[in-house]
Amino acid sequence: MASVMQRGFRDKLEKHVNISDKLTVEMSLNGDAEYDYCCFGVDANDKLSDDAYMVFYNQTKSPGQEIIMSRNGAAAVFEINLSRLPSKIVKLVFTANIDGAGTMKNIRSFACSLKKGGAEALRLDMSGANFSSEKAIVAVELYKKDVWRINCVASGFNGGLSDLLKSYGGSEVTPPPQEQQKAAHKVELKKGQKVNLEKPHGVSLGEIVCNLNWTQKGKAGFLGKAKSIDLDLACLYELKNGSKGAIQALGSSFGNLSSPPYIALDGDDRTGSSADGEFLRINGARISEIKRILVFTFIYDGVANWREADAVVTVKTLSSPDIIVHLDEYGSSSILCAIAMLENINNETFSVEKLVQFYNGQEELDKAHGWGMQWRAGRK
Amino acid sequence: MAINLQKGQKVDLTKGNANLKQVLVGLGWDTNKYDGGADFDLDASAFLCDANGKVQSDADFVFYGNQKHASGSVWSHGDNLTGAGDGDDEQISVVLEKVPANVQKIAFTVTIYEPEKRGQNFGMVSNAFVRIADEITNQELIRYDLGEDFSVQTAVVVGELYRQGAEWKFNAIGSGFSGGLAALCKNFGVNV
Repeated sequence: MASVMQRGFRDKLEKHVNISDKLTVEMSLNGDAEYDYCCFGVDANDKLSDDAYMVFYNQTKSPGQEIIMSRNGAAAVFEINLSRLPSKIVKLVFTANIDGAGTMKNIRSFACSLKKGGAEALRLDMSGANFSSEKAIVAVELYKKDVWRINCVASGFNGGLSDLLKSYGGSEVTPPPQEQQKAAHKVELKKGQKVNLEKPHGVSLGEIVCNLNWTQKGKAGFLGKAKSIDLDLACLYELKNGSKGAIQALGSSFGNLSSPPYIALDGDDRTGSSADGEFLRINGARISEIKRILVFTFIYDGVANWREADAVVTVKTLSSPDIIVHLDEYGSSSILCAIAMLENINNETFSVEKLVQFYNGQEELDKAHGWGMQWRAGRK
Repeated sequence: MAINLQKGQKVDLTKGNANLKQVLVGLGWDTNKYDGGADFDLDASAFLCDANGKVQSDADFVFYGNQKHASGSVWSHGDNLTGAGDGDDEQISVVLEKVPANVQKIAFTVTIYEPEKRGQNFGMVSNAFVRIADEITNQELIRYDLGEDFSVQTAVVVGELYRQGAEWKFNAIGSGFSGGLAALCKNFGVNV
């Protein structure tokens, strides 16, 4: 017989299960919306200091397979091995959130149970009446304080997944002041990390906007001189029909959104003083014709001082959290930086991979990524 | 170094520590980080009891509604409604030599305000603690972790200062109750 947990219930885990065994935490939300489940492995400061310990549909295993997620019908099943977790991970937070419209008030039921060897040891049952405008629920936390313990939280956040990310903070970028109010909708990629853009159900991906922004150096003190850096946003594209090209201000190749290549560059922000930076737009409705897009930036004028430019690329869509690629390697004196690779996934969505690789020009970039185009010098 | 007392443990306070003149009871907790629920409002109170463990009048109950005892021996520093801020969120001071002779013990309690209405208990509150310190030297003597120990309860008798001859001792009672402050008032003979 499982013990029933209520909000606020706390106890030592060993009173209920043998924690040297594999345990499972199972969650299921029942209602009319789409639901996602997640396990955050956080440090002593309640922060996701290592993104690899966020286990969810896009990353179903932690690095040492201490947490493995699977689906059992509508339920999410997390198989966990507490004794194998690295010592920095002192809390596992199990969450469920609504993907899309609706709030937890509208759910029919929510259940969360802790099992060992298939037998239920602890169980939480809730319904819409227990909630109001929450879009995310923290169901239970397993945490280590001398010994492993369980806390039945059964409370949530109105801002859904982005509030969860904000709370555990690991993948949050520190936003520049003018964007602070939108901070909750950002996920910052690490070098080499790849995520898929979320696709809204039943409709096309919509317009995908890549924004490049950077800091223009102000005057350094009373007698200092301002020195501007001009970064250009550009991309190489490859379509399914084999056609290839570059979209860049250089040579005035601004592209086209409604006809091939379905990618277009907005005007050139020469100084970086515009708060908005530069924009590259991709027509998501024509995804089936696009194979891959390599987004890059280069310094058209000025010294290659990447630290001073402190450039950030944000990939925005209608339904995904903003994906942030920070150019956080500064050592290179090369003038061109490959930022991100977008690749077509089953004509449904794009994956976005953070590159941050430096090259001495478009031709070198082309070679490194096997594009195979002919290059000649151009001017703006 | 504060002692994490075991439930029921009794320790000398003034014996061998004659400089202890003023005792501070500090209560701290974190704000509610979740949406949908109310703020966590924890209250520290003191019951000045006779030899039978009862107050002699309602005025011997020091809490947010009666922040200072007539004798000037016990007072509350104020009512924190959310837990915002670091360190102690609520404090009660006791000047030992001013405690009236008929008061044999002072029981300290921590309760959640309107627990049923707000659907709250100690297990929902993060990092709730109560500590007893020498207010003059600010040396911490005793510390309790409320969140781990009391889970679904809404009222805790943390412990009591009691006289033994000319000395003051502390008894770590650590009993949890349901029913919030009203249940404790009944227990100590306060009319509510």
